[in-house]
Amino acid sequence: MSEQLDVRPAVQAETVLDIDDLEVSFATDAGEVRAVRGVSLDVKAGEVVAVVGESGSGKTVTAKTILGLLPETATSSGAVVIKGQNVVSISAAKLRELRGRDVAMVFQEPSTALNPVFTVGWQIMEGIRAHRARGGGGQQGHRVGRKEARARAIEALRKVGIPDPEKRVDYYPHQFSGGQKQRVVIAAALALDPELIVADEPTTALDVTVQAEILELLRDLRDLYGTSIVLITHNMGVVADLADRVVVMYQGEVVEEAPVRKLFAEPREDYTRRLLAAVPHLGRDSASEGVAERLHQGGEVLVEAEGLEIVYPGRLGSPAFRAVEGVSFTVSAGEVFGLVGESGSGKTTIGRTIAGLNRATGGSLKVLGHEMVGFRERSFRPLRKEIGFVFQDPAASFNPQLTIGECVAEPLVVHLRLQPAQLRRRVAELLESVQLPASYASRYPHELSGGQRQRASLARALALEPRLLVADEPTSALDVSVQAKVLELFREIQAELGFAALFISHDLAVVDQLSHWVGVLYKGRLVEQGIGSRVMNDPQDAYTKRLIASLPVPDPVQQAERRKAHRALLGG
Amino acid sequence: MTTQTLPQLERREPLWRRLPVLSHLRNSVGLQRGMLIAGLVLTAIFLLMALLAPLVAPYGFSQISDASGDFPTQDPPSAQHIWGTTVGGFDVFSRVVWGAQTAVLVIVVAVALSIFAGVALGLASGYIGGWLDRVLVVVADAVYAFPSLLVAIVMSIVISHGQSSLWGGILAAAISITVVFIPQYFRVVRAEAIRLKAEPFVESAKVLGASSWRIMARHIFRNATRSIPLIFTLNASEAILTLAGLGFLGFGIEPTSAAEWGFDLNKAISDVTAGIWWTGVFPGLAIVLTVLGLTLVGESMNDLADSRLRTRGRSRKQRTTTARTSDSVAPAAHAVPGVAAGAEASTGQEGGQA
Repeated sequence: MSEQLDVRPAVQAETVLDIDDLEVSFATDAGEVRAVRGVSLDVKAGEVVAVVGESGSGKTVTAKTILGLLPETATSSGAVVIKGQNVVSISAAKLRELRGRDVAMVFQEPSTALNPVFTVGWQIMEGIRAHRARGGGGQQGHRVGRKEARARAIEALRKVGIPDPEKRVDYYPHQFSGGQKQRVVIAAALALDPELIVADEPTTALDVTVQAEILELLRDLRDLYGTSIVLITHNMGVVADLADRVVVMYQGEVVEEAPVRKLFAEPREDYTRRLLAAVPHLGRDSASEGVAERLHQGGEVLVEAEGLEIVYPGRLGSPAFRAVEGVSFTVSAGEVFGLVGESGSGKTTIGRTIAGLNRATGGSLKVLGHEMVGFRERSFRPLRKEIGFVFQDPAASFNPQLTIGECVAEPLVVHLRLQPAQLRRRVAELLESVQLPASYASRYPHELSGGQRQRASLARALALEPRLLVADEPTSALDVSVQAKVLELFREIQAELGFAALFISHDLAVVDQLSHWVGVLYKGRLVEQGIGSRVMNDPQDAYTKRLIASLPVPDPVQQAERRKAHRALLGG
Repeated sequence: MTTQTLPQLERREPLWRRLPVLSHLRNSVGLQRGMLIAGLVLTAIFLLMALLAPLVAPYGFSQISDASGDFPTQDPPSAQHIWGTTVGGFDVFSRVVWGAQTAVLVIVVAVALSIFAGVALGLASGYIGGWLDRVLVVVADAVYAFPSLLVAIVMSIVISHGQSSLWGGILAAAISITVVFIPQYFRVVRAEAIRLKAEPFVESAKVLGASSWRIMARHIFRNATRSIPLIFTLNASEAILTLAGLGFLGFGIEPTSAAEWGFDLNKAISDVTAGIWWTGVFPGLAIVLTVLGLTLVGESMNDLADSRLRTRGRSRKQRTTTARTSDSVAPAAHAVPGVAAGAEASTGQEGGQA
């Protein structure tokens, strides 16, 4: 606790942002929707306030209101006061002056927040020069020349830790990696030294190891420059790592507000408690707790990869891309094999190849005894009923024109000849097995929530009682509380039906909760595999160590220690 | 989580409210609604004129005399012939009305033929891909490269050898228009099919082991053809213009087989210098208003179908549509579709990505 007190600024710090009774509503086809209802919060100088909530809680809308970025269909009332000016009722010219100088924004997806046809230096300078002629601000009418703007852009890039900023200021966005791009976005936000930065899911699009670096950078901004940050996120680990104070939102209202340690230690509201309970926590609730030896080894080997190689042919003039190289593993009957890795590690490619959606180009991959290298659709088709596949995005994996019942019945129609009555009965059974009422069969996919759709997707994958299920990031598009329920269901059904599963995810904690045996992929290579709990607690490979150390756990006290260990790991 | 789980009253809209034009009409407000209604009214007049031609028109399209003797020629508008008569003694009003019938027939035949061929070719080309796709695209591009009226002229010569009966003329015109339009439907459907091919729901059908035929018919077809009503209205107006162009150039339908606006315009050229305005103005107006009506409908549908272009009314009434349901609510609760869309669109995807 004492450490935290050192970091925090004086208690009487001035208020940088004061939101009072904010109401925002949208005009939609279905009438008026009130997205934010009477939200009040304030941010002190040098403070990181996290606004957390699930999708639709109104947290992003609140963030956008701070910069006056709401679309035309929105109407807002209440007060958002920055430096004595109410953003809600301010004129467009005043608002423009305020943006960048007093408050700046960091967006979720760095690759779309930067314009690909201009150099990053130009984009940072654009903000600096936009404020040059307007007097009265921090610059007292002083004109910022091209040279000075450039110098300040270089300075901003240096601040965010871009190496060699004098040269890289003239680089284009595609010449930076994802994490560096987010650094550039932060540099652009910092260029005019605003006192407040609104960061909307700043690390959601990034890999865990990169996320750790960006969180480190944001923390430095607060500690070194006293910048206040409003952090919008759904990730409780990020909150635990960075925030000083937390505001929990639900359905457009503030449910609870508390300092971070107090919130995690003793949440007051029921909703907060349930939200925290649903967050997967690395090292808790592991599926392979206390397991000393690999399970299910007596059974039939369903998937056997031996030096597997998957190459995407290059476009004209560019070399072929090796997505997967020399990967060997087996999945036996009844076993849940968890495949973790960051984006681009080849985990999805392997899953798709097992399902026959991609082609294996080298080595050997036997799926249910069928060699997948150079496979022909015709000879593989009979085996398809033995394989179920659950896709990442439940919204996109259903044909929007068909009812849920028709979608779930699809595998039965393709492979079996059933009477319509039998078909209906089977669909009802399947829906009930994934805890959906049978009456949902007559609904259309858009009429279900994300979690319900993913259940239906599971029902479809299990319709033919497959021996192997491939689940590609099945919960990454879902909110945590929904994810927890879907994972629980998955676990129950797997235990009951005993199918083998290849569970693919970027989330270590989720993989650990489900898998008996875990493989870690890095740049197309399987760097480590072993019993889930052992890999998580005692990683052997250098990359796995870094990956696990980077993962923020949803517990501020524990995370502070992990952070030190992480620094030591990177330093040593 | 939610205490107020509102019972959802009507879960699914009745069929008639989901029909293309009607649903668009319900969703529109202000100027967009005005444009759509103006277009619908013009189009309705056109269709009614075609349907009720035998009742509306006082004379037949090729009638030059009645019980009281031959019609006068180039007679200015009068009680007998409200829009006057032509140099050949035809009643202008009657021919304009009958002309609507010809136009509707040509549109229906031309668009029906080109939709079937275009959609089928587009689906096959987009989904199967490979050499079939390449060949079809080259052919479609070649057809595109010709001026459409030139193709239409060539086709009408090939099909009817320049002669014309009612159906011969209509078919010649319709088929020549078809040839020009197939590439349009082909391109739209092909582009959609290529996009849909990579959608997870098509891949999930593939993983299930569904045949290509089944995937195309059940999963791609229904999703790829959503923009067809829109192209249909826009093409219908173009079909009228092509038909009128053909008629104007003399490749149309003889006045004794059917009434055709373009042909009448052609015959009115020499009247203009003599100060005889009625033979040209009325068929011309008929073409302009019909095309305008169809284009207005098409353009409004285009704007209304695109949520970024659609204007929405700002209701001052406080409606209680805010009840959101999530997975953790009792299963009896329903997801409220469109309601969350506004809020969620700006929230973006919040889930992590691979």
